[in-house]
Amino acid sequence: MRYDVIVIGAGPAGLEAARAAREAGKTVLVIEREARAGGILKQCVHDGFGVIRYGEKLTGPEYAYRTLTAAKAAGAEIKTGTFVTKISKTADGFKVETTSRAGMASDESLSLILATGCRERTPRQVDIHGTRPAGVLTAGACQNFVNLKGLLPGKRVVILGSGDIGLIMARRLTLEGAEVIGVYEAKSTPSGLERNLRQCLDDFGIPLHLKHTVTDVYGQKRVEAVAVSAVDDNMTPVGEKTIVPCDLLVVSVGLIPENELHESLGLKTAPATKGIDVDQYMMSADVPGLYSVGNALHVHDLVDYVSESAATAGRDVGKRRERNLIKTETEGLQYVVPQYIDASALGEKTIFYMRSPKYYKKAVVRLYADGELKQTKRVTNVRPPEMLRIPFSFEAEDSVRIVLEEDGV
Amino acid sequence: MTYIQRVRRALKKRGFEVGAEEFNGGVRLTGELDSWDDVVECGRLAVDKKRSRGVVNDITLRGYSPEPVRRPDTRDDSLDGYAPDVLVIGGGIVGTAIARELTRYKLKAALVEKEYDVATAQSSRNDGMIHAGIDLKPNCRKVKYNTRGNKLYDVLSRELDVPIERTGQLVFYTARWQKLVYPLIKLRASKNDIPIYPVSREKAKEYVREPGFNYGGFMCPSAGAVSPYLMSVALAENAVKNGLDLFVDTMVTGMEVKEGKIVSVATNRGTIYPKVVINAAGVFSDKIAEMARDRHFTIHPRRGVEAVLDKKSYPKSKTVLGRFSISGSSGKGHTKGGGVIVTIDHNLLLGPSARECPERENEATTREELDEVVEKQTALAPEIKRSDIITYFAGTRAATYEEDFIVEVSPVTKNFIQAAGIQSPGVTAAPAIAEDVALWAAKMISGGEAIPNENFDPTRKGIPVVREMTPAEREELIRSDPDFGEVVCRCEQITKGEILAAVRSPLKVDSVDAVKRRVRAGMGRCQGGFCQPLVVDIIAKELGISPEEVTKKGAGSAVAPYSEKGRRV
Amino acid sequence: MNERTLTCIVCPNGCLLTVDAAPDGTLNVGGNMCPKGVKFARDEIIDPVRTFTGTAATSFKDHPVEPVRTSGDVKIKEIARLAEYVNSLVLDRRYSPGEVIEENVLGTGAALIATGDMKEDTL
Repeated sequence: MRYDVIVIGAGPAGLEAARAAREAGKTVLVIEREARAGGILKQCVHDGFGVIRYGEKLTGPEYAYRTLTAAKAAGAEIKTGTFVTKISKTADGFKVETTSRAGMASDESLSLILATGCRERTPRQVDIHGTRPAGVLTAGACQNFVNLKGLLPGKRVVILGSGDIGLIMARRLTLEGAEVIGVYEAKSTPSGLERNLRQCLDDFGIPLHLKHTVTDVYGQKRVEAVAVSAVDDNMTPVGEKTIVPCDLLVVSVGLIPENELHESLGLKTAPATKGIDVDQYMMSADVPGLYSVGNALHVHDLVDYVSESAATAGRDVGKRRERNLIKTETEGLQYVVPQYIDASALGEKTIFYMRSPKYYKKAVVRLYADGELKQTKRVTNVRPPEMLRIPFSFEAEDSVRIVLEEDGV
Repeated sequence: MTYIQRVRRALKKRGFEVGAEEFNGGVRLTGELDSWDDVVECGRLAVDKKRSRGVVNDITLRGYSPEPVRRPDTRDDSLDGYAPDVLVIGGGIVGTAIARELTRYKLKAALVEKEYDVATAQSSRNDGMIHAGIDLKPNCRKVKYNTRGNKLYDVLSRELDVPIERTGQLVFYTARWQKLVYPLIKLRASKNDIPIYPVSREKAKEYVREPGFNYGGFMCPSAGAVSPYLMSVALAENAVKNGLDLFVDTMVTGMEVKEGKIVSVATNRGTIYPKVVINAAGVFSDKIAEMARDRHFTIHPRRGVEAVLDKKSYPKSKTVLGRFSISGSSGKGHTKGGGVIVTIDHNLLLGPSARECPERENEATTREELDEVVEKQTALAPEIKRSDIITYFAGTRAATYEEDFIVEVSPVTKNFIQAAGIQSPGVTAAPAIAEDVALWAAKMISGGEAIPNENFDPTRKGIPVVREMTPAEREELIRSDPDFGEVVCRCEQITKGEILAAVRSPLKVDSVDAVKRRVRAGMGRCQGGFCQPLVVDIIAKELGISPEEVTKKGAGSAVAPYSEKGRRV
Repeated sequence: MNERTLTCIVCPNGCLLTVDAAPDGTLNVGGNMCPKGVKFARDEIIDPVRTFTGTAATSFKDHPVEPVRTSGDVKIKEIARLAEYVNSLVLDRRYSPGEVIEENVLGTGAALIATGDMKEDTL
């Protein structure tokens, strides 16, 4: 079949992009590899989703349900249990080849939206050594067993990494009757949101050990203990190892956008975001008609922003023929999305998503266009784990520059 | 001066206060030392391949109590009184290859393996290289079996439906003078029947551009790659098809030997009464030899760590890259120095390292060893980033002090055959070792010429590898079974159909790692993060057990062992 | 004067709140960007509340557990009891998100509601 747009991935990003495109009158096909739509939200049974978007504290499944219902109501066609085996460029768009229980299929579209989400860094990618028994799980895999299958993978738990999923799992496992001995974090500051530190650790008296990491796993068949060590500023273990008996090690050490599909189109992965470079409508700077949204573009802290940016992409499908791209220069930031601005299509507001490399109690974000300071936004309590979302209104012809610095310097 | 006197003098000269006595045609060392390296060094000093059957090194390490052997949890008498003609001990690639060869003859063969699956130890923990054998000394058993085994792989691959790839091995000179040694290498290669040709500086640069590697080298085109665990599985499956009785979770705990003959073999599942016993017990082969009363060697475990890289770092060339080393090439060195190897599944592999250690089953990796491997091998391939490493593993090689294979009919215990001390290039050599060993066993059973099994079928059909099929082939397969359309492991594109085929295959497959060994589910960049819960479900449903019973690697290793929700109030 | 700082967890803004307890017991809250912050700070100091989330077992093989939550905030001290109770439940019918499983669960004043769509296959 031929569609205006094919969306790969039916998580919150893909579904919302599909809804927006469909409501703009486009024909849409959403392809999802899992048996059910909803993405990772299906297993995020905790609340806190949708506060910005819906003004309500929803659970992941509720947020997914709303998004899915809206996409379906808009008339998006969704194929679940369908796995993309290959994407390629055609003369005027894209070809997407898939496999499913129904067989092999091939569909074409003018535009393509990649909404493939992200995956977890593995224990081995953070230099955990020792044996390889059962009872070492990434936080996401652990969440799947606990929240979708109702199984408990262990009763005495050590968590490595203070990322949000790790913190959330500390609480979930506690509520399921396990004892969480502690959360260890190699960095000197926590990686998760402040609110999760509070309601997942402090509420339950679970200790957080900063500048500590798990170095080794012991046990032949099941985990019997782990070794914990202090680390220096380069996160290299120093000093004596402490043996902590446990039967489960949960590892929550970061997320990486799934970038295999865009790489198969020959697109480079940007080192800062691990996604591709896009303009303010999430369209690839290099391949017109190709969009990347959600955690496949960069890892978000809140699903509300995933939905927002995905809808921006969905609405843009098929709208622009020519672009005048200028690179977004940055200073004092880990990264900013969009990395490019289509100067010929600047709307009333352009939203920038960015991350700070360090903590600021008070900071200021300045936007310069064509060398002139256009706007200044003050921000407080800036923390690297928390994304900054700043809408700017401006016009530009040949340069855009965003600067983050401490306020009052 | 006798051999023993010479050994004593050599030990004394080095200041080792240990005993050396004649023992079973060789020498036995006793005493206690403070360093494991010294223990190993004493063993090496005692080697005399001409005058001694071997070194039995019973020197202990002060303060070290050996880790208990990993034992199966099973304890029953289901095998009590069982009396096969031939019993193979050990289900690694050597044991399974022997078992398959045995089924070519008219006899009842059995194989026992103490782990939950075949090929869990050394046979899974190596680089899967089909060695050319260029670094092996002439006239040793290693080179004899390696050369023959290398040739057998083409037939084996066809018969057992296990892919191999002849990628070739390029050995780089690391100094200008090394080029001068080529005529000698060439001469030895032709003696050992190994194809080889020189590679010019210009040509070598196409592979590696780094300074220090620009002196050219030589190519061994018969080198290749195989999945060593898939090959072991295939050998075992084909053997079972031809009548082998295979028992996993079954550990030999002792033997009754009377008048130079093994009468019975005790296991955790009862006493077995085989006519002939074959030792293919890998790192425990000296322990089995001791039970059979013909211990004339000692295994000193040598650990190796290897790193597996993301498929994205797949190189331009599949050729194995290695560096010339004079000790390796003279047969004196104990590792080929490792290299950058492309596996049959197109992952890059770095390693292995080599480190002597007292533990036989220590499969734990250490950061130090991984760093060593990465540092050494990235010199050949500087484009490799540490972040491309998706996993790493350690294995223990079953090295003897003679550093050669022991493949022999025991001259001491009449019904005992040894295929012991098999380390690198054991994967390559296994099919050739198996030919000899099985023939000897068959002759013992018949008392004369070996009698062929007329019903022997050498073929085995592998599980379809869906990701490598054309869309048309996939479509056809999905039509016959929709499970082959459902992708479960997203990184490696493994379908539910492949996983089910693994669970339904001839050996017992009821764990996540056994599935992984057969179809690669969970071997990709996410290392099973996404597919493990799905694989657990598929295994549970297919076997009719609850998901909390599904293990990672056999009894006692449940992935998610507790299911306590829903006890109504 | 007794001053405390708290991070507001009501919304992602995560305001850093300062709470001053005057000698007469009244609480003055600062640093909040909206009125919810004031309520949060007062609750947090006097009797903290949270929404409970978890899962309940079901009798359906294709959907072994159903995610659930309380319809609103409950006192933190009720959470452990709620968890134990919810962990013991077995749901015998298929719920849709938002459907009430039990009103005024354990007398907390909040309802226990289903949040997952059980009408679709999970596995």
